[in-house]
Amino acid sequence: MHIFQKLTVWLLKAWLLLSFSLLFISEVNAEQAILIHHPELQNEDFSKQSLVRIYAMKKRYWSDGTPVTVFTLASDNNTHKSFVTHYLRMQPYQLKRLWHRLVFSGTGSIPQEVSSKDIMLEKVKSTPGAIGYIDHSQIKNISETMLPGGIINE
Amino acid sequence: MNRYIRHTLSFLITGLASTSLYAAEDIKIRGFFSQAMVVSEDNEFFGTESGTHFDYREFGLNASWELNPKLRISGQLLSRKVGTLEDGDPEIDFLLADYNFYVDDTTSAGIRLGRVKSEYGIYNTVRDVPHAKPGIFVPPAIYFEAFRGQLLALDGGAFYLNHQSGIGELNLDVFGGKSKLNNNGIEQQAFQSSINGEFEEVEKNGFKISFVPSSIPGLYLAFSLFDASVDLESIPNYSFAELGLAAAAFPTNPLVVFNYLSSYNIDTTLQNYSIQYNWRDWIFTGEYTRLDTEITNAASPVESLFPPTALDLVFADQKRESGTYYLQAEWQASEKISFYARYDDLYFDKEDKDGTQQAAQSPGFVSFARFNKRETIGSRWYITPDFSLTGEYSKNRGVAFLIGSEDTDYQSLEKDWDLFILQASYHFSL
Repeated sequence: MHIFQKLTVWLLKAWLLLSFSLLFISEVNAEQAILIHHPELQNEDFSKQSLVRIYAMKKRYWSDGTPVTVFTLASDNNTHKSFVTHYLRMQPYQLKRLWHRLVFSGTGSIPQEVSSKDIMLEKVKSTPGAIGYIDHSQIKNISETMLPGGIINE
Repeated sequence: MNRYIRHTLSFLITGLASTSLYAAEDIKIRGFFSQAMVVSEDNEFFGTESGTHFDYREFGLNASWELNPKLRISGQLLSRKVGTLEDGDPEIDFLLADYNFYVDDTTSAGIRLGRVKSEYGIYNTVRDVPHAKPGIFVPPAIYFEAFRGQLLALDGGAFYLNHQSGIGELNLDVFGGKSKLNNNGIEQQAFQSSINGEFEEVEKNGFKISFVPSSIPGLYLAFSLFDASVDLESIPNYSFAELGLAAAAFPTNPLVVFNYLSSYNIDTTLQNYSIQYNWRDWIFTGEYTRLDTEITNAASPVESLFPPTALDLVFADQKRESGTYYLQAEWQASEKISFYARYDDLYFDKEDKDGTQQAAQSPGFVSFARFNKRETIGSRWYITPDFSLTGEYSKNRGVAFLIGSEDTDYQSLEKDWDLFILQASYHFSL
């Protein structure tokens, strides 16, 4: 079989074998993200569709006219991963692909990255129009006015 | 340099000079780098010889500066080393001022001036950005490399509108301007050789309209219209002796007259239909382009040496319609791994899909350079969120996707060929 002697085909097989084997190495993610928002945004729409538009930087203003300010943690942060997979129902790299599209085509700007969960909480609490997420363990530090509908809705 | 670019540049420099007035955090610097290993045993790919090479790398450096919520300046330097096609010299990929003059909770509208990316299809604006697309290359049937210069950014302006209503989200982009070509892919495509004179500047304009219906979450529909026209420029003065030799060679080699043209205009209109559907971990994408090419004003002083009708066939105005499409499936299998498969199909002439008519009319033309069918499978592994390895294998029939390399020896190309590429990509921010 001439075709299986070709280098390109061997490389293909090796690459696919590696890719598939990586599928079985899954990381256990114990942290659970909770969506939070500035206390004055209680009447806004926090459905999955609305959140995707917000994190894709398409929804720029709330219904009361306040500009939307989006905060995020680093892409490899476990709370971030939990937020993206549970609330936005996509893989973190898919969200990042949307952000790369905005930045590298010159058509938009992307969310502000903050360096820790505590800073995230502080920023969302103090910035009008802000939206973000915290880890489940921080829930005792916030008032229910920062939760959509006043409840934990993950 | 176009005057819009010059204005934007002076605006940018004036702005930078007064940077101290603004907080440094308003200026963001980001970039990307990619390096590929190309294994192409049958045909030369981005190179002059078949085999394995590392001669494909890209580097992009991007700065974005938000002066206020309505005014943003952003620019990008791009360096591409692509075999014999591109030498890696940094170029201004785009440099623009974006004025978002109207925005409320449902509508946003604005203008971009300077060098702006042409909105065409799903991937044109991000064709060189590794992590903004699933594979190593954007689908070649729609975004083929030989047409890169025509599709890339333009010096001019664009108007954009985004509107969200109960039925869905509507986006409109309208643009117009000019750009310089930086390789002679068009010559290779039209003549299968490098000729006297150059195609240097493209005039382009068009629009893209897209719609995301509320009733079907995950569905994206778009239509783009793109018009690009180029004229042959920098034509030398041919000596009478040169023309005489060309005329003498003509009966046995008709292609020789293409090397002694006095004018040649190519006008291309593309109508692109895009559909994308995201369902759970799957993204299905399809795009179809109808490509109309019109060749006018083809003329050569060699004509005067022949009776009036002898060269009519060569210099008559020509209209060609072609169709091209791809279908792509992507499976976002886990947090670090994605798989994709794609089928690309391109032909240059609807009436002559396998190129045999063209080859019969023009001795020396390779028929299978007029189409390309490609099956691709690949996967990407995100070692970190910003560092990935992508491996991709494709089986090809026809060599239209190879067109563009300088001094390609068309006669030596294989009609059926395989390609494996491994690419490492890294995105960073400073």
